[in-house]
Amino acid sequence: MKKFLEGLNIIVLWLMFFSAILTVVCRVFLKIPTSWSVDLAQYSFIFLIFIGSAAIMEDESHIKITVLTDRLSEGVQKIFRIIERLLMISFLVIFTIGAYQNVKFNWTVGLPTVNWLKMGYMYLILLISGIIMIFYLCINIYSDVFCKKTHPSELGVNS
Amino acid sequence: MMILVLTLGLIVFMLIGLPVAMTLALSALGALLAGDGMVFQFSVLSQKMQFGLQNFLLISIPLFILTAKLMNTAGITERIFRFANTLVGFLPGGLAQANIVASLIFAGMSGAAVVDASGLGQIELDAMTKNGYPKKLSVAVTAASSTIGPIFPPSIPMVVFSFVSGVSVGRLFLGGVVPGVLMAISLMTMVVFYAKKYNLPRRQFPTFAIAFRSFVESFLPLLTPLILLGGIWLGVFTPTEAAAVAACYALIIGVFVLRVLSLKDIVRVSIETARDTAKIGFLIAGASLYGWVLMRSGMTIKFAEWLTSISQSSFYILLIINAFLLVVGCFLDSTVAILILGPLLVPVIENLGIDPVHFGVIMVLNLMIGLLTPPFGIVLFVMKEVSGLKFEEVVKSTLPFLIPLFVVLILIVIFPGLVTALPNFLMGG
Repeated sequence: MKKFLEGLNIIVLWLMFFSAILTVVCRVFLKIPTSWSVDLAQYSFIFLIFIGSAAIMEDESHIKITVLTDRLSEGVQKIFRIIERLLMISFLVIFTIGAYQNVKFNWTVGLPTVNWLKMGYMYLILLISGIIMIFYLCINIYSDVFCKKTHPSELGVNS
Repeated sequence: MMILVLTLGLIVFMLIGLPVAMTLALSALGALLAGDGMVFQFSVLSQKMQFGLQNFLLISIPLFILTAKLMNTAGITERIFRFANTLVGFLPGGLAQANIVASLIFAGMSGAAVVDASGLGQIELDAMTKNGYPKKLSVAVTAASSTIGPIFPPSIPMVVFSFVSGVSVGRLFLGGVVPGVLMAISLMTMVVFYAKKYNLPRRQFPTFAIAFRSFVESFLPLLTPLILLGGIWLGVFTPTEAAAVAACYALIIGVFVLRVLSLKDIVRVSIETARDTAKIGFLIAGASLYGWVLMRSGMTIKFAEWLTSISQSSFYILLIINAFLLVVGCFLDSTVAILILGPLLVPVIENLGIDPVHFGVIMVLNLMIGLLTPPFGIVLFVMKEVSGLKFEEVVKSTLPFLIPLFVVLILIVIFPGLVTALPNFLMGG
């Protein structure tokens, strides 16, 4: 799944890049300002952030400060890791429910510049991101509690 | 109660090793629960997190990262280093001087110190150690010069500061030009002392033919900062559009001119860029939620009242903030520090009549010095990995090079004109 998400992110990264370039070309050279390409770039950016964040939750490589936890014994570190993940899951559950509510409210609300691009689609990205992050965190807790192998990739979830 | 939860949550969650973005989001959630109880709308979390990212300026961050990575992969950094060596290699401490000048040139294409230290840094380190320079000195010069990257435009920390403060990113970029050059000059002066101490080798003064060949070889990459800054200054591009043009330019040079970038390279660079973007972006999303709750709690007003009650002098307040930022920089990543402290500090300095462009550059320079100080100086960790030295050795050898950086910091605090004159002259003020 991680490879699929990374592949998707590459496509979206270049979509964002071409949208930004198109904005320049249309405005500077063709003298036709295009606000839809700005919106498309912004949507791509939000997709990149939330789906990218979900992808890197697999190896939990988000920016963190580990000065204190690094000095603890492996057993205590494991307990801390489980507490951290439970805290994150508790936030993500509320976040995902909220994202679902936003998807429902905004499903038919189109952007003024691109009518077919609905506000609900953006919240759908957040909803999917929340679900994937919860999934990875659950897998990581399982791997810490029940498996000797500590890295989730060794359980085959990133294939 | 909300203020207590926001502050305690931030400290406790960060210390137990929770990702910083989640620390911010969870503290905000805790404060909302403490303030409003369960009556708050769950939908507000995703609304505020995505709303914080709906800023066209922020799209420049992945584009700047992409540009720097493409330049590194295409071997453009090597050409820049060779050009810098031709330019200043005849000075005392030749290759160390070239190291600093190359970092200054590369700073005009990249916006992050870590990209400089890990990409260009490896090339600089190899060249210096091969030519008999002490490894510890090579590491120290490479680490110190990499901090020029986020001061000299373009700069990712300044984009983030612009996002939290609303200050024009074009003015911030131009404000970083003189301090960036001053950093290079002060570091080069320091190298002269080391050159005498270690009797470091230097190359002969280049002939015109050698200098011309080296210039031609690196001519196209050298145009990148001109395209970026010239485009923004002349009003042709917004900073984000300029970043897109720079990335496009790097791609064209790498694929069609130098013909060294393969599809495999581009895929690898894209994956790395997407990962780095997700890390920074999720942090911004978490900080947006935290910032919104911070405003609701009234903490920003109370903090401003408390800080101005210490002294009414803007200079003393600036000194206190500097000392505070230097300590913070030892512990927090620059993006994290700007996102958390920016909303608290910017209203204070605006009330005191301090130019926010001046303050933005001061804040970023303070935090860059933090990249070179233990226990969390990221550049120190990168240099440890790149050089194979022990962390303690990297720290010990880098410490003397903090002196020239402190000198520049003191200069720009005392003389605001060093920062503000150029943006005021070119963009009006």
